[in-house]
Amino acid sequence: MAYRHGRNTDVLLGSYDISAYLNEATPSMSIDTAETSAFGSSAKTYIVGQNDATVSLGGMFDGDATAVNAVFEDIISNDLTPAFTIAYDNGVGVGNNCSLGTAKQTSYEISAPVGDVVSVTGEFQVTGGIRQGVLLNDGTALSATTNGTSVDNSAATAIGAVANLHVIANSRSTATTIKVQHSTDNSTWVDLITFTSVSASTITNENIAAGVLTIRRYLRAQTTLTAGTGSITPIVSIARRN
Amino acid sequence: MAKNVEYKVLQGLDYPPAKRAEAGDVVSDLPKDAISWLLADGVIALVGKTLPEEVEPEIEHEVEVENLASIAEDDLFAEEEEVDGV
Repeated sequence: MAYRHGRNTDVLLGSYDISAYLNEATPSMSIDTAETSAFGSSAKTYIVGQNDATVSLGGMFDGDATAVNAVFEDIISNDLTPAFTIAYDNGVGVGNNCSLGTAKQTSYEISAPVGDVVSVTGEFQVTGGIRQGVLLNDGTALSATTNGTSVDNSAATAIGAVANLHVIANSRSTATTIKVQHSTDNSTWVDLITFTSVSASTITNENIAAGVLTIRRYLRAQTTLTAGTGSITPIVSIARRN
Repeated sequence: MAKNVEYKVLQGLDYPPAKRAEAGDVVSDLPKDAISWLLADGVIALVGKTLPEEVEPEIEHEVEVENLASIAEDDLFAEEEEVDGV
């Protein structure tokens, strides 16, 4: 595995790709510890408790209707819990690594120094844990039913899965169904996660856990369009841990 | 000639060549290699199958009857010998 440069990072927050406004994204994981040292111990001992995570996003202020200011302001003002995907492994691309989850925004700061660009910082408390996963789409706008390129994990896993859907653009005139499918042989595919049907001309985001623990070796995203016009840009990320 | 085994689909799936089955469908053309893992995952359930036409149950019954008669005679003689022995 080659090293990655941070400049290619993509950040999907809710129904928006806000990468163009950001220059820093830091997902951070931690876990509680409880001390179990007893009398006579020469060194402290611990057991672990619950894991926790936060996300810090920073960049340049932009006040346009769908730019970073509007996105951050909407989330913190309306107590939203958007899905997020941070694609630090060469950005959005099929099979690229990412961090994903859902989060509450805990702060939004705008800084306007006299000698520098106006900047923004958003802090997020992850709820339900942050997961390391892969992307199943490359950010292409789709205008036909598409079975995405499969991602090979080399083996099945047995601890469930959780997936995010970000629909960041949608001009379809009819509804779209987006699923995650898994397979043992890269030939026969079973529905694993079915996201809520995406209405015409609607951008949306969703986080769903798989209903089963066994996740087969191959994964792909399937986008099914009904008769109509226009295109849709779905981006699915999935982690093999619920 | 035997008919293919039929399976009820419990969870939607796509399979070659470019076929789609929804939950509730009964299919008999699933790829043989996929059946074991689809059953293991609870994606499909066996509905039933038709036996080959070559099977002739009557012959098997005749064989079984003869065997039973033979066994019964042997058992009878054995019991008599035991009685004599006492």
